[in-house]
Amino acid sequence: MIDVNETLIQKVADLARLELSEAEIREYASSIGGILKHVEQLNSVSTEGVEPMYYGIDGSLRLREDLVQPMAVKEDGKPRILETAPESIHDGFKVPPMIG
Amino acid sequence: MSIDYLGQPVNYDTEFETVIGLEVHVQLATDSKIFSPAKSRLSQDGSVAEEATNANTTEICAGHPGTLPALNETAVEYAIRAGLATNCQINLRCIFARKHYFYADLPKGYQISQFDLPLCVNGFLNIELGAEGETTKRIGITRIHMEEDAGKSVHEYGYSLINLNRAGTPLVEVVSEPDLRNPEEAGAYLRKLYAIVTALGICDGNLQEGNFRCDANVSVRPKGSTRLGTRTEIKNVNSFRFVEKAIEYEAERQRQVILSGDRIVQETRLYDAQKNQTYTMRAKEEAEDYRYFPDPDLPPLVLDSEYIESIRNSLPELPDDMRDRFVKEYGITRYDAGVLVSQKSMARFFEESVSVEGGVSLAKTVANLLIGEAARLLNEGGIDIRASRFKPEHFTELAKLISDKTISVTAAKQVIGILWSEGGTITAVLEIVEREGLKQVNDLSSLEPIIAKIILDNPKQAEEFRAGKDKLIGFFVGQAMKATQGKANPAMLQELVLKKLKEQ
Amino acid sequence: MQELKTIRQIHDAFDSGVLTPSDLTRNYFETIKSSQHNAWITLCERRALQQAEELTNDLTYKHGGKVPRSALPLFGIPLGIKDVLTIDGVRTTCASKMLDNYVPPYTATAVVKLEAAGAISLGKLNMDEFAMGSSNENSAYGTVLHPTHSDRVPGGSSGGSGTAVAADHCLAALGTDTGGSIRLPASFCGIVGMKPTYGRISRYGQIAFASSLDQIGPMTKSVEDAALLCQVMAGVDAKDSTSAEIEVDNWQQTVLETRVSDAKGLRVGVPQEYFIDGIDVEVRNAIEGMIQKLKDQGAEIVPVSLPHTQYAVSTYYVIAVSEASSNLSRYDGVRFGVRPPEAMQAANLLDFYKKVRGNFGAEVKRRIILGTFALSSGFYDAYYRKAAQVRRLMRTDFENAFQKVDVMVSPVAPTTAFKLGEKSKDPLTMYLTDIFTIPASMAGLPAMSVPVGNDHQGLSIGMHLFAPRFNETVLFKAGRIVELLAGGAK
Ligand SMILES: [Mg+2]
Ligand SMILES: [Zn+2]
Repeated sequence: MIDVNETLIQKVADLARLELSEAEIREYASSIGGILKHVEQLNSVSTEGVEPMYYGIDGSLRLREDLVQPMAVKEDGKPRILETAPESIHDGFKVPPMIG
Repeated sequence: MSIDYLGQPVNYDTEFETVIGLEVHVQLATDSKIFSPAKSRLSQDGSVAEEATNANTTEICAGHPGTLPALNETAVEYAIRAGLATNCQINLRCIFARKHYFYADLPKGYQISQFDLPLCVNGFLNIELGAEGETTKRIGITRIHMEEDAGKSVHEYGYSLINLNRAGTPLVEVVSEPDLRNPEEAGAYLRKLYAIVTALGICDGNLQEGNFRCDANVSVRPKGSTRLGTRTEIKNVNSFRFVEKAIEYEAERQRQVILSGDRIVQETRLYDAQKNQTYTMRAKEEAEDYRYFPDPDLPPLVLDSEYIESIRNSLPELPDDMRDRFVKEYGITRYDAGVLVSQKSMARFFEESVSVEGGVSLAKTVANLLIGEAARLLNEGGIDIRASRFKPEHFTELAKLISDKTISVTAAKQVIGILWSEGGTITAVLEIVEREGLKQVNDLSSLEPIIAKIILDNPKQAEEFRAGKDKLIGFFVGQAMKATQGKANPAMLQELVLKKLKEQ
Repeated sequence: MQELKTIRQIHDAFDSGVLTPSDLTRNYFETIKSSQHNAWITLCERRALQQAEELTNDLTYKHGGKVPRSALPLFGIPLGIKDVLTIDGVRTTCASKMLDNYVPPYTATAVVKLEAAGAISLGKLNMDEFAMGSSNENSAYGTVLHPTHSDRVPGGSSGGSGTAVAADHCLAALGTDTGGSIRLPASFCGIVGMKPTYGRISRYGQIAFASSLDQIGPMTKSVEDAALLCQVMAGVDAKDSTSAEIEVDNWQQTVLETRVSDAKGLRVGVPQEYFIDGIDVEVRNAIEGMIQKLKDQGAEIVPVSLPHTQYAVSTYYVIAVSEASSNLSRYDGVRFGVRPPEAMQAANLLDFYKKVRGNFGAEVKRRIILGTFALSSGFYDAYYRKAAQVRRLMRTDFENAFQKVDVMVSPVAPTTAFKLGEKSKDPLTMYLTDIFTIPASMAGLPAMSVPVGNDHQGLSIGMHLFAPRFNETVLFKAGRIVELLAGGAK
């Protein structure tokens, strides 16, 4: 059985890019520990040779014809996609420095 | 023989061997993106006109909440073509998976790729090695999988800027077996793969635009060992020459590290072309746990073998077959043919040049002009022959003029230089020859007095020649050629000089 | 107006000229604004009134005063839309602070279809953040109150939809259901809630929680309206690769033609695993009472077994959270959504992400951590893959049982609506609320909650019905019989 401690929660939260307070880390270590303990019941199910069910539907992927759709633009001709940008500059999405 | 860090001579080649595996990202030349109906950066005609930032970005490309992927059928067809042309087995059921990492140019926080069950597996291609391409080596291809490209970031002072026009461009990632043993083999592999994907018409092949990008996994090990050493990955090099140089540098660096008693750190490195060295991008410890799992938005892609066969039957002629045909049909060397077919546009251009009556007899000359002077100028200019001012007729005409002795090969090169900057119709070739006075002088009777004078002016050399110093013929021919401003037919000139030397 | 409960009744009122789409829409906004239920996050009043006005004009000038029922089956029908579905130009928050400012540039396919059939969208309904919850206590916009008992939860995650329909803020609403998020609030609020087969209705524009489970469905005052909304929304969509290319029947017709006497010969399965200790005795009595009524009408009651039921919650909480952790990776404050002021001060991208993503609510963060863990290297096989295998076994259970029966019935939940705060301290207890709804979700089955009675406090009890995949027809038929036997919508 996996030991769900605060170190593990911190490690996973880092992987998921979540900032957590110390109180949150403590709470999650406890609640997630409890949930995973319940989930352990799955170990008692024999699943040898059982094909995992990863999809909600059966059958093959449908393919889309290679057609270009016109892009949505604002009245000023700029791409509409920028409307939702928290910050933009020169029509790009602005973020903190990615390097250096 | 090299010198190690202690100043001791070491013959590394007998002690180490380099093991290289390549991962090549090939952008597929579809109209729309792989999962969205946005215009893919590559347009139909292969032109790559600069698009305004984020102009080709839909809510799907930007990973908006609630959006879903719908797979482009042409991307699938192109990926299958790549697999068939590299002797892969096509999986009739393949799976799309999500690969998670956080980066500002990766809109969804995951890349849709393939992990278990990729589209193509277990292929190979043959590369030619040696100065004349006389030996062949088979390089295994582990897998070819489909995935989406990320966006681009521009780094400014104090911030970065994200452009998602490239996000969602269809890619195939071609992963080789670690079968390559030195930079030359890696270069030959890349050139061959490039020739194949461009011949297939599935990639526009613009290296500057990142249509064809290479990651190299490099390790060294004691020669004879079958275990792989710790490898480093050199990311995103987009020129064949730089890949070769980066591998060369990296292998040597690894040898030095091992010889100094240190261990190789598994890491991702980048290549700095200006300094010709690789440097650490990130160590494996900090590396991501990608958390691959089957994408629940995309059920398995199930194909039938009839469909695969129909694609196989419609494949265009592949570079190796074309090379062999060129050798057979046009009588050019295997090496020359190999160079011509390494670029689809060059191969087509060559065939057009020699597709005239009697063209076959011109083929050797045309091939030499294309591979030599024309290719030199194209490489310098960094452009495709189709985008240049050259026309196939130019080369037909030049080859004709060379074969009927109207101009010399040297003069032809001069004409090519002028065509490069001026262009023009088929008549341009003769006009340039006339204008520049490049016609070869074939009637040399008028030269007799000049040659006679050269011999008289150089009695010492004439005497030594007659005494058996044959090499001096070059001196007299050179003097005579200078006097004719290079226009004389060299073979005829030599004959005349010999005759005069004997007479006088 | 309170008397008008179904779409058919509204259309009759439009025909007779006593009501127009504009009147109806205005009346609903009045009700909404005077309500204390906190059922709505965003109202699109201008947009809705404009839609209503156009339809009102069309009714007179284009349609000669008669509702064009076959061309526009939802003509002038005001709906509430769960805030998990996008509408172009209308704020869509998913009840999360992360999307407080998000105005999507496109509309969900289901909403496009409803509006194309004449429906009017009144606004966006409150819910649990990212549809994660069973009580609607996880909304960044505050808890939704139960329609009749203000100390109770309405159920979740489509709690706003449940309360809005029950309290007559709108004629019907859209909910979404991943593990019971339509059926549970429908049961708690005393309305009809229907989750179609996975793949029936396009998920395009439905903000994803767990992609292999999520499904849009109607929450209505009658089985007939559920059938009508479902058939309008159903059908393959090129934008959703998981939408099914399977014919859509006229389910409204099915409902209209169904009589109580059609119970005769209907094989009704009763899964023994769903009648366990711990079910509230009043709930058990109400469900068993309805089973008896079905039997009295000639239905064949067949005990069946679904042996993997006990693993449902474990399986669900591994698969749903794994998919959720992936789906929620896109909330990074780069292209849309809220970027807290301190985030731009971040020295680097890593810091930036953590500052932005720290603003998810507590339950969402819990599930992201759980899901990230279940997919991480070294644990994938033991958790995610294992759960996907057990999921297959659960589906096989249903396929075996449906060899013997046409439809199955059970309680929707072990209890009626519980008290606010009663379970919010213990996630696992909260998760177990969905114990009877999760299995049908895992197998992708169509399922429905139909009110069959009240407990002694007047809290509604819903019967849970589920049918084989893509057999909505039998589900609606059985649902209509139950509705009639319970004395519901006429
Ligand atoms: Mg790779
Ligand atoms: Zn890749």
